[in-house]
Amino acid sequence: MSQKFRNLTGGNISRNSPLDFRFNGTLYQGYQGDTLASALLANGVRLVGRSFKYHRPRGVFSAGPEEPSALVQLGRGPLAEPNTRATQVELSANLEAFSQNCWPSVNLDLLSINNLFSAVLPAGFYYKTFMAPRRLWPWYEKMIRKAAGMGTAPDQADPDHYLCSYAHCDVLVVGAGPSGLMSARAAASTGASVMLVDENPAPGGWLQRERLNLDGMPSANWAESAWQELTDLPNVTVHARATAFGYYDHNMVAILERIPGGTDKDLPSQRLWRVRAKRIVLATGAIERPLVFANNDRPGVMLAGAARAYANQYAVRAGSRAVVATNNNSGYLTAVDLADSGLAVAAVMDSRCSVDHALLGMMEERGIPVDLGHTVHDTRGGKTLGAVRTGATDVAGGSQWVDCDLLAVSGGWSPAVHLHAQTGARPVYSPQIEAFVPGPSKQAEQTIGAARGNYELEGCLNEGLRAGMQAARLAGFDISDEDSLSIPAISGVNLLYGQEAFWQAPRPGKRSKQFVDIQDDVTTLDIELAHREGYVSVEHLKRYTTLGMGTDQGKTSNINGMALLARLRQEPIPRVGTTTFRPPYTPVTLGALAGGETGARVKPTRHTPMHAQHLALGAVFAPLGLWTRPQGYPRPGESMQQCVQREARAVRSAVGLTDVSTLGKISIQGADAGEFLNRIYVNQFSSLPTGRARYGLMLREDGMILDDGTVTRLSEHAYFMTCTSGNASGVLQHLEYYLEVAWPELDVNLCELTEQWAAVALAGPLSRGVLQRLCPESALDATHLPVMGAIDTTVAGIPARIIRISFSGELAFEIYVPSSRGGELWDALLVTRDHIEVTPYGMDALEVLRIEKGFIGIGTEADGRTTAEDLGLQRMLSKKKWFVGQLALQRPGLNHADRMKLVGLTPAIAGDELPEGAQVLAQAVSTGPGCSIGHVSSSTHSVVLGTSIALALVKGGSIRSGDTVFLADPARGANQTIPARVTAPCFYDPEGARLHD
Amino acid sequence: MIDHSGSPGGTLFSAPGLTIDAAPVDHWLQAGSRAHPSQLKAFLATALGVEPNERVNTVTRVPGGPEILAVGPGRWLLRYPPGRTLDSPAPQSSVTDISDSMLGFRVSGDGARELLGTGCPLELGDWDDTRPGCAHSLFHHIPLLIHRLQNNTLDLLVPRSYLAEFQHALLHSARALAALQSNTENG
Repeated sequence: MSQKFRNLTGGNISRNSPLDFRFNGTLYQGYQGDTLASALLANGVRLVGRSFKYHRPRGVFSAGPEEPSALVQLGRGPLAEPNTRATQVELSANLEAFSQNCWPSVNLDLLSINNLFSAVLPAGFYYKTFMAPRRLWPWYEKMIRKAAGMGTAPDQADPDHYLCSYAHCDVLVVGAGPSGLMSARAAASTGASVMLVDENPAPGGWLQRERLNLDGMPSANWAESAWQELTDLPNVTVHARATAFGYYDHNMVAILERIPGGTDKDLPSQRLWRVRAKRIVLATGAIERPLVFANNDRPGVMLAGAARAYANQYAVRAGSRAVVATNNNSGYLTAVDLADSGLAVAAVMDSRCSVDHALLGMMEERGIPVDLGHTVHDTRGGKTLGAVRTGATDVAGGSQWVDCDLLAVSGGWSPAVHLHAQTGARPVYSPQIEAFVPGPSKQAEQTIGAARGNYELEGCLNEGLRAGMQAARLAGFDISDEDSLSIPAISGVNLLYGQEAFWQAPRPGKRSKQFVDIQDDVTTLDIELAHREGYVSVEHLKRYTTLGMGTDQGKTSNINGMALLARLRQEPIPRVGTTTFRPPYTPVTLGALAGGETGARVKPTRHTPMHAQHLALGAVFAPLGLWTRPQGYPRPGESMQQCVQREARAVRSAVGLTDVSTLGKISIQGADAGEFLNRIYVNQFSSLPTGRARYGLMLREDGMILDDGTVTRLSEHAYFMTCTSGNASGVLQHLEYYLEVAWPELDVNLCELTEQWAAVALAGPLSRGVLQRLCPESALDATHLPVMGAIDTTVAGIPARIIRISFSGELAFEIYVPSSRGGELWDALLVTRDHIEVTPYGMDALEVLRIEKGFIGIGTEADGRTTAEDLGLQRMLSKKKWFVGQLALQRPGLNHADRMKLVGLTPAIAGDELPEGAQVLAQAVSTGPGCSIGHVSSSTHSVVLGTSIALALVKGGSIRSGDTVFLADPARGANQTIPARVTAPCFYDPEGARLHD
Repeated sequence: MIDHSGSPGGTLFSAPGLTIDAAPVDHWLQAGSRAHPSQLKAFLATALGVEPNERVNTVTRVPGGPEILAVGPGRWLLRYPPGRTLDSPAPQSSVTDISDSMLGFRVSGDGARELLGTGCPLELGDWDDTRPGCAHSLFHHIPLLIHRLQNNTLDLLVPRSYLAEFQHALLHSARALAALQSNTENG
């Protein structure tokens, strides 16, 4: 099909750059500068999609972001993008688009049967209809979602990539129409840094569509010249195709920039800007609203401004024979432009009873009849408009059918106050323009031009100039020469809009569908029904009928809906008010919001200094907070369970090496460091001798365990603290909080050293021998380096700190070296000497060793609800000093005999596995909710006992020692329990003989 | 591939207006005194021959010595060339060697700030372009120390454990910006 509706001349398109594209599989041609909508219209394609609920035929309705009908799916497979507005899709070579919400095709949509049953499908019908039987609701929901929809999301990962950027400027101008361009020019002239964004590919807004001259050049050319002038200024950045979709606190505006396609694989498809500006000027324009009459949704019914835009900007005739229905002067401009572009204009229907004679003169010149006090009552046609029935505005049932295939409607204009309202400001109703206009600003923002209800070009230009200057002044710039800029001279027809409200045409039949929200298929009948049923608040009306929902968020429907509700409530429109404006202004791809933070990079991953060594050893990694740590080092053919058992056994029988670099490490220095630690920990630290370490427990203020770790005294006023990996930043914040807020008088300085030191634990009965060979200058025997002793020395020639600490119950040493030498230390320790093989072990083996010893884990046994006494650590609580959480421990509830306390569990039946997370029951069968007496906090398969063992928190704790309890494992079924015997929590070497070797 | 035991070497990325190199592995000290900041400042002035700035986010350059980054009230980072350090201990203060804590990249060229802006929300426009500066911030959730050496030369330093992630994020942004620039130039 050729572009038979394209004029040979005119428009802002490049006829030298034809572009092939496909719509629903058919090949068409358009031009560079077209949108998909203009190219479809140029090719005579009227039927673009099907409506949301009734599957009625729909075509192009607007020429901008407000489009409610022409929603299409772009692309295929993983690149498919549903719900794109054809009016905003720039035509590109080989673009492929599809109608959506239709089956099997847009021309023959079987689901259009919904339209036949529309009388029984009013607003909220599914709330009433699908209530019984309740068990079928999931099926109902599935079917409803299938029948009513908005395209199909791709089910494969998005291969596009996205870029996020933060930017700051003195003045952000949103919208490059006449007001925005003047505002940006004015602000830039003061030296302020200015960012100007516009959602369209070309600047100018409505200047692209007008037939005016500014400063002697066509308005579109003037806009492009002004844009270029701004682009060339060093203090200005401009972004076309950039939609400001959200206005957030502290003057931050989120902007989505669409990047025109290229071949570079690194080119992002969209860029999300977060812009903070000292001052923001919103020049977002106004949105034309439709008229409400029967069957006002047929393909061929179009906003008058859009019909004019297609004629002037794209040189496209949106039909052959047009009728214009209006309640304001702009309809006459449409009639003129349509006639001048080659359409036959059958009539202008003006709901007003009197208009300016100049308008009538223009119509007379072109032979266009005008019917004052008349409007359109109804339309007929199939998949495209065939005729309209016209008649007087106050008499039901029109008197005359007029053949036409284009009906251009204008119900007036609504300022686009969305971004302004997102600041928290409340728009106020202006009776002069019958629309909501910006109220007092809640942020450093000013709304200007048509977005403020100023529809007159000269006024908009002047307002932009003043607003730009004012924004710069408020941003701190000196305006010495305020008169240096002036607005351009305007020539051409520039009419005031002079609208008179006309909210609803007489309904020709009782059940006639007069659509208010075209996207969501909401009719005047739905609004009346909602009102009858008590949904009289505008917010309730929205939820009940879906008025103003969907991808267009009611840009063309809200004000008409509010006006109808006001009439039903017999109140003025301001009393009805608006719904809440929330971001985004237009739909935003989730990929743009996520940026590069997807998949494995949804959060940053931290690696230890020995990561390369772990990779070389074939480690299997597991996350630990943000860290990734070896879970184990399986050998070929070995399962992870076998691997873990082998590694744990190696530590118990020989020597193992594990990476503990993730431990939190904090230097605590100062004259009051000892006193500070006394207050932070439950046990005493000021008495700790230099060169010795001590295990410590710190509580929250509510008495619950916060963390554990060790503290080593390095000198009189210097200590070295370690804390659990997952709590490292939390513990540092805890310490900083008490120093800054509670005890600022203490002379204590903190320095986080987690990243400074690599750390390993060398554990097992042969560990001393292995380490001693690499550390010849220091004696490591029990006399010189007893349990909890610390020395600074060298290991394999690397400056190191060795602390004799064990988390495995075996003879063990923690070795700290500068991070840059961590890999070197690891390699040196793993070298087999004297036939002693050092086995690397991972987190899972470490867990086996911990549970065998009954050591608590932070997050498992110390789960935020347990006290020191609950975990059998009450002897650590110093009675000689005060510490954080001490007072809370006096609460009766924390000393109740029935509290859950730490115990060990072994299977009562040999071979049973004790599942982690199982509920502990006193009886073999669950008696329902509340019968649990505890839960299994950690479990493993013991290498020394050869059986499953577990730690559990059980009511009464050791009082139940020897009792049989029952573990309810949901995986085995509700009535299947595993008998287990309550024991002491330490399963291995309770005297600690091996540790003290 | 990054060697996690040290800084990556060489130039990682180069495009018109933007170069990313490994930042030099320098010697870093953290000097802090909550209780006696003026004494620490006096000590540093005596030891280094130049009084360090107290204003946070400023940098004091010591001829032939370290750069002193004011990172908080009574808290400075001393950046020494390799092999050099503070000779004497500071009284009533803590001076801690954190040389192994940070690694990073030197980003230079007209596009340096825009690159930083792809992940860092900090407003850098207020920086005095004629002086060096510093700031703690984030880059895609990764803790970041920005040390501005000249107007368009930034050292971006991160905790060592984040280096691989930081490199990935930085290069991803750099490639995207270069592609955008090329796309714009090609119309």
